Amino acid sequence: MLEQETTLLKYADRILKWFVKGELFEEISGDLYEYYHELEEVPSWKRNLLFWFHLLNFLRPFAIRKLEGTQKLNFYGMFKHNLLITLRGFKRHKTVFGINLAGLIASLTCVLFSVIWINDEQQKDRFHADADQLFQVYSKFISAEDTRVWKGVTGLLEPEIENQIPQAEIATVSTDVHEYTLSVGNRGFKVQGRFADEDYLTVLNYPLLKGDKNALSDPSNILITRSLAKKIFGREDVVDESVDFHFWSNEKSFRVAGVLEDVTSQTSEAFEFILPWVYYHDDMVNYKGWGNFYGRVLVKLDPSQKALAETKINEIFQENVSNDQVQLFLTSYADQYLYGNYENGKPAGGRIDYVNLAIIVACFILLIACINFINLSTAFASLKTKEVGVKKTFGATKGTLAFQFFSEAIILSTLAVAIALILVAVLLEPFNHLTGKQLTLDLNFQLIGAALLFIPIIGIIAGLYPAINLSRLKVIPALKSKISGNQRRGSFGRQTLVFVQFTMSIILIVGTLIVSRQMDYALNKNLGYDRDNLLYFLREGKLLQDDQAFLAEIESIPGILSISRSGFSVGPDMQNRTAGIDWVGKREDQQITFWENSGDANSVAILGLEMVAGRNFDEQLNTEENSIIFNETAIKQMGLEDPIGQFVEHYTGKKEIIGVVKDFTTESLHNPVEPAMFFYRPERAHYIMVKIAKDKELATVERLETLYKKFNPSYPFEPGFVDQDYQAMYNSEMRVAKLSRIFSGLAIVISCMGLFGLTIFQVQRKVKEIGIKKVLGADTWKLALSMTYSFTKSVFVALLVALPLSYLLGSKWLESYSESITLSWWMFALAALAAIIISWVTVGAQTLKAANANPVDSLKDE
Amino acid sequence: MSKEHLGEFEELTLLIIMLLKEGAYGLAIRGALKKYANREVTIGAVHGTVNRLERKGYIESCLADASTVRAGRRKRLFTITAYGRKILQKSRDAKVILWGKIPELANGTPPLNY
Repeated sequence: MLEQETTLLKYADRILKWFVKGELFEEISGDLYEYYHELEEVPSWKRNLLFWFHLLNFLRPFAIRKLEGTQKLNFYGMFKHNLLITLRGFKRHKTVFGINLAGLIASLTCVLFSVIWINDEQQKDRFHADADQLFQVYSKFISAEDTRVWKGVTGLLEPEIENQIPQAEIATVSTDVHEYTLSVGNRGFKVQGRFADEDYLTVLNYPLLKGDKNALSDPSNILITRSLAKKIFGREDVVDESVDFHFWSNEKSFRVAGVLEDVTSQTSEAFEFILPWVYYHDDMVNYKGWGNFYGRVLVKLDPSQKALAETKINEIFQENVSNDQVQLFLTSYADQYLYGNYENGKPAGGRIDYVNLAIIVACFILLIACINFINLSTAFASLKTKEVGVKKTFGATKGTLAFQFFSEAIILSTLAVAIALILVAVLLEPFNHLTGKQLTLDLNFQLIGAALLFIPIIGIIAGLYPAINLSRLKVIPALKSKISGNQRRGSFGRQTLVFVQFTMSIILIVGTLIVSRQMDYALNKNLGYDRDNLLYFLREGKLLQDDQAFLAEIESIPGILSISRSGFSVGPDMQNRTAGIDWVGKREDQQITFWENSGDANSVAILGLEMVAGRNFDEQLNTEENSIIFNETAIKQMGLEDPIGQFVEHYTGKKEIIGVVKDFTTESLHNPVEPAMFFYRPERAHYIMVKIAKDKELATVERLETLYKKFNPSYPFEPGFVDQDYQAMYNSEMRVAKLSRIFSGLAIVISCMGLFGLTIFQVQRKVKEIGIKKVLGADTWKLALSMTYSFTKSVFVALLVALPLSYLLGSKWLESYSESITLSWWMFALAALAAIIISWVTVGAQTLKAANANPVDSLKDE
Repeated sequence: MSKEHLGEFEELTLLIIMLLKEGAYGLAIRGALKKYANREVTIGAVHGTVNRLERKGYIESCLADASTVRAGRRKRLFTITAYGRKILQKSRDAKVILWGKIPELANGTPPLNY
């Protein structure tokens, strides 16, 4: 045979052997070679071509060998075998399988929810095309006591930025979103809206369905969202319709110049209409100066130019005010949502803290579930030593065995991920309710990606330990079951893992206790005023011009205890503040910003504020326009000794201090008490405030509404309650409190399930030992105790580590509140007791059952 | 469809196996198919068919007769079984009956093509 023929045969053989059934190989190859010889006269290229053609033509179902060989175990066969063994294992150890699966599913559901939630948080305000080039101008008020940051500057700054700073491509000015009344005919609606200039829709990409985005340059235009159009007109093609706007004493008719698409969940400041900035600036701002911080200015510029632009903006500002206690700075527009908090002028996190917290807690729970898997599979692995021994005898390598354990873990995690995804879909509605979001499960890339990512991650974490440890077993000891040495090390490892689980669970329990206590404290704290049953509504329309008749009428409603016209409200957005106060002996660095309330004589009394010195307003005196009442903090910060009878200079004139009230809090407890003052200016009061007798709320509000409708038919009656507003400030914290309760509950449940599984295993292994001990006269309780000993030890060590750690974390969290609960020992004792009792109950039931069993049953077989 | 159905190519192959007597193996069958029926098929197709016929029990086989041109590999030699013969006969009978029932075919012996 020629040499080239030999090589040809060699290759042909190799290829044929690879795909052709073993029993057919000989006849097929023989025929092919004979055929090759028949073709001697044919040119060699054609001969080879024909040969290979015929050879490859054997790629037919009858000739191709099956994936699973009979003579040689291949990959597929091994995989199939592993799957079988795994499923049999699941079937045999149903409890363990159930514990593992339930734990993984519960934790994965938490994690997936966190992923959706975090994703939603991080996408807020990022749908604008230039989101990373947009910067918000903030101002910083520096004083000796502290530095405050305010998301606002004068509206006059915006044209200056556009004219004088070449780095700024475009700038826009607007207001925050606020509630106003819109009406069509005589039907009124309370609607969220804002004012903005003509560049607003160029800078931000709120999609416009109809109309021109420059419509806001005309002061008589209004843009409304689609849902608002439906709400007030009942249809969507509403261009050129007219809408009446009412706020306080301002009323004007606007022409609908365009319809905006609804943007709700993607933006942090959803609104339903935009009115022209020109109108706001000309008609609604009383004091258009550089010292009034009424505008929100957005600048679009290259991020590398930020520092330069910042300097220039400050130069412009100083040229106009020359007040070096106010500085302006720029912050990324899209980052505001997550990083919105400032403490003493420095960025101090914000919602990002909750995002990070969610990530940490989710990881905790996932880890706890993985530990369950590791613990239980290592424990039950000792039952598998025979299997490993036999497999190794037949030539299984470490790699194939490791692969088996990994594939077991991966099958379980795939199952868990699939069920968790279904659970997420089912539980999305309640979760939205809990978090106050509108999350949807559009199968987005992130979620699917995360879910798919978790399969190998969990598989590897959970499968790693058994894969390494079991595949390393030596054949002969494994077959002889002589693995006691290994076993002991294994049980030490398991105890360590139980310790880790319980440490995390205890930290979560203590954390939940602290958060809940602080929330209770904040919600029930005496804020300095009596906020219960305090109802208020806007003075609008007729009530503004003449409310005497209305007030006289509602006074006769039996459920109403007292009435006042007042500007008082709680919450961070709604209040008037001013720095326009001078007093004798005011120092240069005493730039105090006062909270300001205009109301009638009853405005202090209705709040139940306590007078510390002086007197309250008196309706009978005609001089109250020139009186002022401060709170204690204001007096202290101004540095006034014996304040009663002294005079201060307000921008509306000279005022005499007639009284001092005790401090009170209107914002959340994160903020310290502010200096505050009350004026007698009933005509400037924004609200009518009513105190309602207990248990008569419903009937009284109904009567109020009928009366209101009579006086103000075209205005909706939508009163607010001060206590509800106060609660609303803690919404995000209360949600965290609720979520953390669920999460820590889950953590302890999953940990205990693991413990339960381990106990079952231990009891199974020690059945004989218990039997013999009982025969020799051991006491049931002592037996049970000796079995719980090792777990109790783990839990106690966990307590030793977790309690100090949770103390540190808890006190750090409470530091962010200006008033907080003190951490007392009982919280930690409670958590410790809970952990011990829960673990004992879990372990105890099994061990007691084993200890009580009749030794005959356990000893008779063998 | 009955299990005893015999395809046209299968029928040809069976006839050729009978014709070749002791020398019926894959490549030889292929050669005979070309010679008598003017059918050129791949070796794989022949193997596929005989494999199927053997599974159906129409033929049986043994391995024998290695040679150098076959690189020392044996041939699989096929012989027809009694069952195979019966099936072949049946298939022919069915066709003859049908031919006889069609007047214009039954009147004269159809001319052979060769």
